[in-house]
Amino acid sequence: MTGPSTLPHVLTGQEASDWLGGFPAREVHFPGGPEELAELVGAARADGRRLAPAGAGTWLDGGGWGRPADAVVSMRRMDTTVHYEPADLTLTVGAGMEWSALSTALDAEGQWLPLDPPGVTSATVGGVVAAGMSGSLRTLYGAVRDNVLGIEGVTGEGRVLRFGGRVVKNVAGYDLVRLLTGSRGSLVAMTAVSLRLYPRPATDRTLLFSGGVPEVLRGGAAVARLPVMAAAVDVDLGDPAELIVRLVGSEVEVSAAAAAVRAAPVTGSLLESDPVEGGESRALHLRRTAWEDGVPWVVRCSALPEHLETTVQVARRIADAWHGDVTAHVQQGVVRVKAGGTLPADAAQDTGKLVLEARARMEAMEGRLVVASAPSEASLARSGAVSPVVKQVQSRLKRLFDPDGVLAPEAPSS
Amino acid sequence: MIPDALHRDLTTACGPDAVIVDEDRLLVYESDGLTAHRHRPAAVVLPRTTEEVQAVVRAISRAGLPIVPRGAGTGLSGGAVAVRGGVIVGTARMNRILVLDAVNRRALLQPGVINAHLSEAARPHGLYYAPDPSSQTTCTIGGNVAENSGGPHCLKYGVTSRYVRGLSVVLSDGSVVSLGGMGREQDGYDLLGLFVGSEGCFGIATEVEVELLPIPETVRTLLAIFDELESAGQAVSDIIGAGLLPAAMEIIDGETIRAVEDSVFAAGYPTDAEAALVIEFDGPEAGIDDDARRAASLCEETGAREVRLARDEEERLALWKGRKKAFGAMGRIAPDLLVQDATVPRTALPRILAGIQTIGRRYGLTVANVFHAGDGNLHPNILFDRRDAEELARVERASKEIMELCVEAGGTITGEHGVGLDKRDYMPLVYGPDELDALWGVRRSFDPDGLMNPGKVLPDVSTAGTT
Repeated sequence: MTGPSTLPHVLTGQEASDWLGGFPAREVHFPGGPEELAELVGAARADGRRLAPAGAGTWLDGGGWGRPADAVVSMRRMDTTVHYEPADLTLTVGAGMEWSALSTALDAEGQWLPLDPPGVTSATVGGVVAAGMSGSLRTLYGAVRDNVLGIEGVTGEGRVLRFGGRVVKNVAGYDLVRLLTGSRGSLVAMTAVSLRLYPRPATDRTLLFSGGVPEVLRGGAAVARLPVMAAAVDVDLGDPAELIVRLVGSEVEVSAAAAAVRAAPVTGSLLESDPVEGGESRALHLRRTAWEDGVPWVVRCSALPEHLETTVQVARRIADAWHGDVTAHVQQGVVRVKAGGTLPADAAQDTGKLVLEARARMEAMEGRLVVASAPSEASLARSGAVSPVVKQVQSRLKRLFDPDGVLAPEAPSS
Repeated sequence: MIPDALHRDLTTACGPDAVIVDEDRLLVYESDGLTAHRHRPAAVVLPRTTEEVQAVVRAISRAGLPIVPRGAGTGLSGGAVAVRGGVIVGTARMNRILVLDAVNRRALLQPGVINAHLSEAARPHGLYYAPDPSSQTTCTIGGNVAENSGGPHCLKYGVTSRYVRGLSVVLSDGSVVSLGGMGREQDGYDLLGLFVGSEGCFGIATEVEVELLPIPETVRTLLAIFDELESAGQAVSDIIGAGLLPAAMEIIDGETIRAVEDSVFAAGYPTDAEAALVIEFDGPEAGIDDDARRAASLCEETGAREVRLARDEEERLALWKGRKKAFGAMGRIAPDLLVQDATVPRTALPRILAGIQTIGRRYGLTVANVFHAGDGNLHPNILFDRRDAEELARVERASKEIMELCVEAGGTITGEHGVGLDKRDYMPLVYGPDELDALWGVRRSFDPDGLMNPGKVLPDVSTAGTT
């Protein structure tokens, strides 16, 4: 991918599609700032064209919210640090800054953004905020939306709006920062974001246990119920299954927590391999964020943590049909399933039925099943039905920010 | 006074003892904790269930009157006050903890549950509810949801919105909507997050699902005494800059120290000091003493003349007492108090504190500061006498200047108290016309007829979202 300094203002034809890693697009525009983007939006509105906001293009399929767009608008050229005062533990950057570049810059100051959503390694900061997904670190540090302090973006009418700010407590007006986080570019195309930072913990250690699936799941549940708050309690359901426990803090704190984890019921009967430390521990968890990268079929099941075993059962039925894999965030009751590759013809045919059955089982225990990624021809509803009132509020919000539908992503559930 | 038909409908819905129309009894509902804004409601109704709230909301909507949700009325922005002849829907009788689910670390509550009661109920399970506004022994969870309340320990743990996992909400047309829910992974617009902090302008929360945390194994509390307020502000910046993350860092300035020490709440702070900084660490036993020691030496390096460490719970409560009772103590100095709530970037604290003192001096006013220093959330309190019209005018001018100073430094007008009636006119300091227009539109997306808590948060005028 071409870096921002050498990016042109627009790519067309094959070059556009190549830049987006094969995503079909006739044009990719690279505005240099919110005003330039507002002009592009204004022109598109006048011509009745639809634009798909993007960063690096990681989530361009819109995760099921998308409509075909006439052109992609990437924020990649907006990649500067607008404001960074380390002692404030806050930062404002252009939406097009690469997440990995930002992480490296923060590392130099002994700070970090403790967010590990899927796909983060190749994404831009704006992309992460617009997708609004979370990973294992959510239990300890909150979701993406808990760590976004301010957002600047351009509406479908070409207005540049700024909400929130760069202070950690702010209740001036309604919390539009939360509304816009995770709105996937359907309300505004984000151009800059302010984020909350944390001191990087002195010690980052990951304990690894393996065993049979039932034992590993029970071990994970026992660790998640300890008074010690782990930064991740994940289970990979391979053969053998693996329990991955990440602990962060000072050396004494982490050592004490590790002792508590090893003493937890069940973990004693699992096989423990050597723990992973520091940079290696960080790299391990970063690799785990790429677990579903490039996979055409991904489903996420969630329910209360106490229902984890049932949630895993539901997930494994899908995984078996897909020859796929299952991983669980034990503390959150979230279980993800990915297909082993392109589905065999019979599996693809049956998938719709399979997913709907699984969704019904999840909803019967007040849980949820989200189709995070599926080929567009599968025409699977991303999420379960929402109430007509919620649907009405969602479409009013879409109309408010984008009355003519210039921004390609639709309101959710529309 | 309300129309007979409405009176009849409210009585049918909730019973005669749940409807208050008697002028004397309505007096209690005239203001919230900020007594500067007084408006008597047309009536007060106290439903017990979601269904009763629905019936009540439908009846008030039919009558075309404003609907004003209210918890314990401890807010500090004039938010739960009925302007324009509105009817207050009070949640005082909706005070049941419906589910306390220790396995999943959550609770399902009616909105009238008092914040501290939740932590008391969760304690036997080794759990607690993290957000701790100073009014936590009287304020309600529903009020906390409306205001997105903070508190001293939000430095480490974050504010209310991080802990609210699900809501049942009654909108102004009487429909019930369920938002979020633990175990239902977020997908789609975050209407739950948007509702938290909406100050009663979107609807009434009738059930609240919150996340609970394990009670920290141990706590260390320090008190550092400074001869200069700016040095205390610098110590806060240095502690955060050193990578430490205390659960709370609170500053009480000299003016407040003297008010506290002269009152029944005397906490043993030296009266010649210009700042007291309370620092609290919590977490596992392992490592906590190292953190406390590092914070103590950073305070000494920035000029603390004394650092005390609480040796037991009794001493800890004594160190906190001066902070927690500061507002009460200030009542002794002057009959009226204007409390501000601006937030500034933490590193701007020393400069802003000096600026506030300069503004106070210029207008000949006493400004006493008590604040959540770790978050940069200031509470300058201007002391005055409302009966003195000339002084009141100076207070208003100084107040606006302080707000402008904080906004110019990259801050905002309110960190945790909310906008309500009180800071509505200051909203243009932080938002331009397009942003205000969008805020209006979002409000109308929930409440197209403008019946929910009108006159609050947004300055009038805007037509966004009306089509």
